[in-house]
Amino acid sequence: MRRAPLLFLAPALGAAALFGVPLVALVLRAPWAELGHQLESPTARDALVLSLVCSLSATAISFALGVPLAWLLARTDFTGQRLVRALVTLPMVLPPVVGGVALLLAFGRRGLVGEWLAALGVTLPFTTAGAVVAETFVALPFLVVSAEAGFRQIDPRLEEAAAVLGARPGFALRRVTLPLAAPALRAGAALCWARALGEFGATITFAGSFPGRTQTLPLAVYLALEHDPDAAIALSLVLLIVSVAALVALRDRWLGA
Amino acid sequence: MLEAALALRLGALELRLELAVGSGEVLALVGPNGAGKTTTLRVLAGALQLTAGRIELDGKVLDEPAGGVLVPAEERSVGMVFQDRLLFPHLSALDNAAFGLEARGQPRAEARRRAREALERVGAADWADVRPGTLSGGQAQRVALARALVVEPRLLLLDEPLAAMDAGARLELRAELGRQLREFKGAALLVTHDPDDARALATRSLRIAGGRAES
Amino acid sequence: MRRTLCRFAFAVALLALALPARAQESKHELTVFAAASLSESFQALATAFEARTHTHVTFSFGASSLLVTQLQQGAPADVLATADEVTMARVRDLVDAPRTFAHNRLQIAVEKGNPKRVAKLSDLARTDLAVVLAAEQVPVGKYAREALAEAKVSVTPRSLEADVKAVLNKVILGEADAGIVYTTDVRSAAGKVDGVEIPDSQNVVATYPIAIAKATHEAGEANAFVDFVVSSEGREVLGRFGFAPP
Repeated sequence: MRRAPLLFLAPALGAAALFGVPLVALVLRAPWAELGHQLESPTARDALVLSLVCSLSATAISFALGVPLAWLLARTDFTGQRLVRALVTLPMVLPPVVGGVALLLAFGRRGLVGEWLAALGVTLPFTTAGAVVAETFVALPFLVVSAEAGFRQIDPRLEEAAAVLGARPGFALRRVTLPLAAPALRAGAALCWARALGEFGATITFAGSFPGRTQTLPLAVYLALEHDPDAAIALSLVLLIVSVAALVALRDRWLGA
Repeated sequence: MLEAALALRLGALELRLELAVGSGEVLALVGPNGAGKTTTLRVLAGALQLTAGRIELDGKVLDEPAGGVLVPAEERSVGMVFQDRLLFPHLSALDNAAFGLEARGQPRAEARRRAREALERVGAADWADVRPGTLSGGQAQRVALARALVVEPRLLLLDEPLAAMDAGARLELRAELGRQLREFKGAALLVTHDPDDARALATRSLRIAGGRAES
Repeated sequence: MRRTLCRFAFAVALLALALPARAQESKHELTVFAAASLSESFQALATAFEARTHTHVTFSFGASSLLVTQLQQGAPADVLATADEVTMARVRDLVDAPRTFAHNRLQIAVEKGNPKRVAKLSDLARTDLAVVLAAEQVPVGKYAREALAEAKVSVTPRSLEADVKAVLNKVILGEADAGIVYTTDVRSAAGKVDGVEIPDSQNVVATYPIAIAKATHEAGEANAFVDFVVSSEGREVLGRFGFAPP
């Protein structure tokens, strides 16, 4: 292993500390003795189940919508492509609460599209579906960006070769493009899921906060912080453990180069 | 039997070529870089479209802009060995060879059986389960050849099949290629910049430069 | 690369020059943590206070429960003003003796024009209404539950918001048909929402205490601010926003 230049070593250690110290603090200060009791409470269980359901749904939807979009962005050249790409990456730089307000103005009861939805009897705010929409809104860009990069790095001549060998577009997609893009797609899905799991601002603004229906773990932590810091720490720990466990499992099997 | 009158514009290149290759014949396309040799193969394979002209293979019209006929690449009876081989990196040699058959609807077991036979015919059976990444130039080239031949195409296209190989492997592979081409019943086009290869493998040669045939 | 680095450094230098200029304007800085319902009135109090002293007041508005938690974690507040005494009591060892400076009452905020014809507290039990309350830990949420329990009204809210302004916003945005907030909040959003009175017999009196943090470095200024808030002039300002005197 090459000796790291001192110029890089110091900032790198700083970065590691920035990530490491808060997480270590969380683990060290956790009320381990009470943890079991805290986690058995219906609030904690509801929040955890809801978080998992919503984040997985949001990831599935992001995958279904995002992969085709990423493919179009990578492999075709349509008018307004730059605009579409900018729009898709916008939620990444937008403060989540702003995203939540925008969702309300679009899909709320008086929203642009929401008005028509309401007439059809479909409401999104204050519902679990609304929480899923909020999470999808913030997490989808991560999937699209990763997937587009994944598609781009495939030599387009391979897809051409597949066609010359007799593969119809659907066959080539299934047997050549998607398998070759798979590592990037999995990485994108993992990032997308992690983002959805941790989403707070857009969810609380668009879907509100109600136990069992829209109060995901991050919202539960925020509210718990106000009166019961121990409960907040316990819930935070749950979120941390679930996230780390999933990411570690994924990294070993799917994300490795 | 291949009959083609090609007219095509691609970037700075204007291709104007007339070809006729009979069954069992091997036509070598020779010429400098940028002459339009690969472009010729690509348009015959269906990866590119003609601007004008006509391609007819064994009586079937594949591309004729004037008549509005365009048979997509995947429906043409063409086998191609590509420049840089372009073996699918995520598939084993066997699955690479079987790809064309499976793409055309053959069930996997049958396709793999025939692919294995094809690999044996070109002397590549030993590394059937190996991924292309670890194969040497010569080995990969044989797999690419098997992949093109196994679909029993009416037209075989070879783009610089002996490029970037060391001397020893080259001669061995050239001999193998010669064997396969002699057994091949359809029409074959071979692109090469090496006149020795053209002499050894082809029945006829055509020089092109700047998109046109040199007389 | 070098050019980009130079440009970046230049921008940072510009920013660095701009920042201290602001701090030079006043000699003292006061940090006040105040309940969300005090947003408008305390801004007005600060303007009046700054005009007569050389102190610059910075605010952190939020749910009283959240502010108190932050204080417990070491947040640097000089003055704390909450919307109920219970929350203030949580930090009795971190503040000097609190003083009551205002009272408030609850009101139902509804969409402008009151299209859903909400007239009384018991209407909130209607299933066709989207009702929003503040979370239990937030003073106004606690007060609301008290009032509803007293009136024996059972409400299923669509959401439990983080503070009173969030409840108000849901009504302003048209997402909720009704929310229980303070009369001062309805007043501050006049024109955007209408208020439905809750009769005294069912209403709850909210008591607002203010206290100086023991860890303050600006004891003199903090005292001056608190004195101003409880003074007759302070009461007059608060009264303009709808608060009742202590």
